[in-house]
Amino acid sequence: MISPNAWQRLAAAARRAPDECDISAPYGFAARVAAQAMSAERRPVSIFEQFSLKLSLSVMGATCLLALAATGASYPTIVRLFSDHVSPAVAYSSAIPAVIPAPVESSAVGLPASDVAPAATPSSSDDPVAELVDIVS
Amino acid sequence: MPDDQPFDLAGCLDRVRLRDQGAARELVEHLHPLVIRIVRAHLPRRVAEEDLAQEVFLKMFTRLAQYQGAVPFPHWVSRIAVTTCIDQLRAQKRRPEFRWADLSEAEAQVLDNVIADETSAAPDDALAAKELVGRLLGQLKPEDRMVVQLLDLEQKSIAEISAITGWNPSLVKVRAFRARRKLQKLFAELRKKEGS
Repeated sequence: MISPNAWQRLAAAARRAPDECDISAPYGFAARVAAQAMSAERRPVSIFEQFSLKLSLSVMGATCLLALAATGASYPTIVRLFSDHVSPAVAYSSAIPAVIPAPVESSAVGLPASDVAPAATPSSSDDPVAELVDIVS
Repeated sequence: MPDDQPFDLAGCLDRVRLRDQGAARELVEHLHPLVIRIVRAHLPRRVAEEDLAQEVFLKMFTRLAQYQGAVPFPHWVSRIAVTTCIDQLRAQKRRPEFRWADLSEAEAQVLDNVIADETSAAPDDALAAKELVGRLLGQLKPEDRMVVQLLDLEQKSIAEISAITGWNPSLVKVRAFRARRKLQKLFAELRKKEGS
């Protein structure tokens, strides 16, 4: 069973404890706080500081727009440059045309011509490797 | 400043408004006992009392232009101190768990005495009781803790608490009721855990 006035009795006991030692300001505390408060209040807010965030954001936005415009303007050139470029891997693949299997004759496997899918030619657009080999050769 | 002269608060405030740093220093020295009492009574864990007192004084200087004289200046400063402490307590979010096992022997003895309603805690146990009260208050909401601290430990009246905190008397009473009920619940939980 909890005493209904348990808290009151505990608080009464706590009140009998001696008060905390010193309540005066520590040495230098008042001078430090006063100096800090006065300097903080005196500091003027310049127009540039007031609008610095807006200014920075505006400049950043304009820079992004310029970058996008420049990319857009030179896009065809970039695409052309990349499409003309042949990587070493592609050049290497041109040296192994024998790897590409030859078209299979339908009569050779004993199937009617209609059942055999048409063989992909090296220049077929479905086979990028064959297409590249064809371009190089 | 000589001790035999009463502190001229109004004159000091006028000089502070004129940006007199010496007057600002005098004002801090004059109000420090008031502020540090509030800060010590409501000090959140892991916050240095000097840092919190400094924050209170800096807020006071920042808002000095807003002081219209509707309430006595020390009351106005007390409100700033109270709200600063409550903000700090709120920022802690998590409250330390209260367990019987964490109590010292003296604290456990005091708690056992007051819960069981045997005898009143002996005066020798006042320090342990104070420590115990601090732990218990740490379990309350910051506002409830503030009210019960002012009401039951500092023995201020409802009107005084209302003046210090800026809360209306009904709200102070509601918070005191809620805090005491929560404390009673804590006692019951502790007893239950101890018994099991």
